[in-house]
Amino acid sequence: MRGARLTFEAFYQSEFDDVFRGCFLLCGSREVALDATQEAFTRAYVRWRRLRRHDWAGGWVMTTALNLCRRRSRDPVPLGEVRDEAVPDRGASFDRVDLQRALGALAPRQRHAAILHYLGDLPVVTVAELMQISEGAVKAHLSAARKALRRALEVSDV
Amino acid sequence: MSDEIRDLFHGVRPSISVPPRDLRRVVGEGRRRLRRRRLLSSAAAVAALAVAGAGINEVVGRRGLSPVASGERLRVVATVPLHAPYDLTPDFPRDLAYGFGYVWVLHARDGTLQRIDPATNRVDRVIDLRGETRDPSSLWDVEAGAGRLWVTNPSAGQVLAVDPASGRVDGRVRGLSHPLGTYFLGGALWVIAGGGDDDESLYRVDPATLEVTGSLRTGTECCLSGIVELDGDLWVSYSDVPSRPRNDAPDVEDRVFDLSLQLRRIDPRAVAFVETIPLAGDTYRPGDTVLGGLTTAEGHLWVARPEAGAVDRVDPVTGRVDSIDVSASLRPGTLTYYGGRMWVWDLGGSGAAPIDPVSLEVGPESDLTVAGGGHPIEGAGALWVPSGSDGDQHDSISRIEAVAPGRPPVETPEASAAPPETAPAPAADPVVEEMTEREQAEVFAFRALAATGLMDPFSERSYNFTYADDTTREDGGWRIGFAASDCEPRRRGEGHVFTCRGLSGEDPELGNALTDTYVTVARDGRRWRVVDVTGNMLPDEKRRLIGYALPEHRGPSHWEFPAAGAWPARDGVVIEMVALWIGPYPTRAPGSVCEVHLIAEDGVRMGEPRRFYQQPPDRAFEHAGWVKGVESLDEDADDVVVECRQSGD
Repeated sequence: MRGARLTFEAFYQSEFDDVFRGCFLLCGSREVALDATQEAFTRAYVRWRRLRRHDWAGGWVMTTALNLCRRRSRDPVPLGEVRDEAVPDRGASFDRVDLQRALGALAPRQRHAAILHYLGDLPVVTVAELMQISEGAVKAHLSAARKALRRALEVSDV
Repeated sequence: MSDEIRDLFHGVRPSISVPPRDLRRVVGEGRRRLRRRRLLSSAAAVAALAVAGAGINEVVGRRGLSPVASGERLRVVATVPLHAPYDLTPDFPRDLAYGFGYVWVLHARDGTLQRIDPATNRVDRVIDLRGETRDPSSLWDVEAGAGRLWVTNPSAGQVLAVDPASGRVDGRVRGLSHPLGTYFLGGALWVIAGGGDDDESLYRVDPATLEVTGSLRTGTECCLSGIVELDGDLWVSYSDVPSRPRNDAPDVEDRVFDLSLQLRRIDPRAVAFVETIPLAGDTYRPGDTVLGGLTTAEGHLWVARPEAGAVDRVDPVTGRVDSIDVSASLRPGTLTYYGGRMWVWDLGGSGAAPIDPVSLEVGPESDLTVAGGGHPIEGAGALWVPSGSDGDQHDSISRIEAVAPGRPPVETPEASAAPPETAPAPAADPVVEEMTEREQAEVFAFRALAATGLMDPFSERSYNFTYADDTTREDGGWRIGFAASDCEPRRRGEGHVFTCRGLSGEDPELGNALTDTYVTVARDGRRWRVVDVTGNMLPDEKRRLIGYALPEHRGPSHWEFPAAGAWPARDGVVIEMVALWIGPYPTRAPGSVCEVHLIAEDGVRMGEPRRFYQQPPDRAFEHAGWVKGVESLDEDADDVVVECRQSGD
């Protein structure tokens, strides 16, 4: 049991940052992102006995947190209206704000898939399992996301 | 080109500062939910069991939860006279232990270990330890673990290792200064030694080599009054009396000290204090009992404070302390978690009162004056405590069991020689057929596995025992083979890696097809008892199982659902429940149905329940099985409740 507890702690420490950042990119609110992140890890703790066996445990937490974030964000962030809260970020990065704004323009599933794949570094097959959709659907979402991001961010050759 | 998008995401990472993490809150809240989930599912299983039929109160154990105020009681069901071979009466049982299917009583006066068979409630063996010490009455404490009985011999500075089979002392732990209490925790023997005016120390002993592998000096005029294991850590109740009293009364008896009470966590590997949780302070007068029992239940530490008349429930993660005032009914001493209740024993020996471990409600006290106020131990589904006699002397052991309101007491050899077994009429389609002895043995083996929690999907380690049609008649009874699957390591990285032999190379998701566990059961009169277990269980699991006894089944056939639970899966919730068919085969029995209710955050059930059916046994034998189903989990569901019942009920 001690070992299990240490393992969850290590899991929490290693995954927390990315889960929080994913949530923040999705909903634009640090408060909501933190709340969703903590709640997702709490649910993971309750399920840890089974989750710990799987290499997709990190993705499960990320997905749960993103779902919570989406639902708890009472005021969805529309394109062009990203709230840049007075956060103690190390410099308000234009990249980050731009990325959030661009993500805000995506359909929810596209946004979700993009964060899992590009920020969470999860392969397409895992994203498909976590989102309970086909790999083809994930690829379609990612393709649409790339196009939208390219347009919004003017990233060449995307 | 997707790499550039990936770089874009990764590039913004540093610009998003991450707030402080709060693992403690996550774990604390997670534990709270786990406890709630256990309670909900347990209560649901009980509701279904109440419908299902006979023999329930013997099987469900801690699942028989109902409001404590409803009158749940402890009752002495048998009195076991002790053997007095040397005419030193009355004897004085100083300590009890349960192990290897028997209750072991250490006598203080004649230096014997006396073995009580729970199936007969009689002393059936006496081990003479007088040759080990000049003063047999100095033997202090007995503990069972690692295949041996451990008896402290303070005057010789030793702990004796006694082989329970041969009765011989086959080893000694030496070099301990006045060893008193022994505890077998986490695979090691822990010995509290010294105390009083001497330095007190805690020793860790390797039970295989009998070498002291670690020690911790705990202080003088203090310190430890209990030690338990929780989540791989050791916790001790610790008291510290300052050397200067609060007043300057000339008589020592009149002096009052400020007392510091704590729970301290010990890292069992480093043998060092690593955390302290303060309890409410108290005043102390010489002669006071400063701390009572320390035990664990439902993920919490529980400790009694006799002088304050309180029991504290302590969350080891958050450090939160909930104090329960029991002073109106008793002076709390020993705490025993039994039958889903925390039983608080009165130091004066008047009885015990139950506390609901979740609501903290205190129930009425059971009058157990006849049983005395010793330290009860649990074994073979009962509590065992030295009986009261004249003065402080004791000459027998009381067997105590819980009696739920409205339920008849469980049959015991002494309570009734051959009482007719009464069973409530089944609600639908009763099947009353005589089972063969083999069927009785197989059904009992399954019930024992379930009743001792080994099939409980909520436990840290659980098994799916599959009938293997590998039952043989032996001299000692019936030997029943099972294929056990779903074993898990309990500890890692501490030299205590547990592996399930027989599962190697097999798909853990599909289970095990090999018979790797054998349970030997025997009938003694009308009672069945587990006499041996071989296989991949941990020693404490075997200990729990061996000795478990039940009357033979003579009531209607029925389904029992001793364990149920729900676990998350990638694509929903896996529902697991143990369904036992208690009856002969083939059968015209009904099937069973389990319903899964999703619960919203506000506790309201969401929508219609999803149902899973278990067909009646239609093959040569299918007394038990795990019903499994996968259900999509609504994102809004906060909890899951599983309810099972017999079809048609």
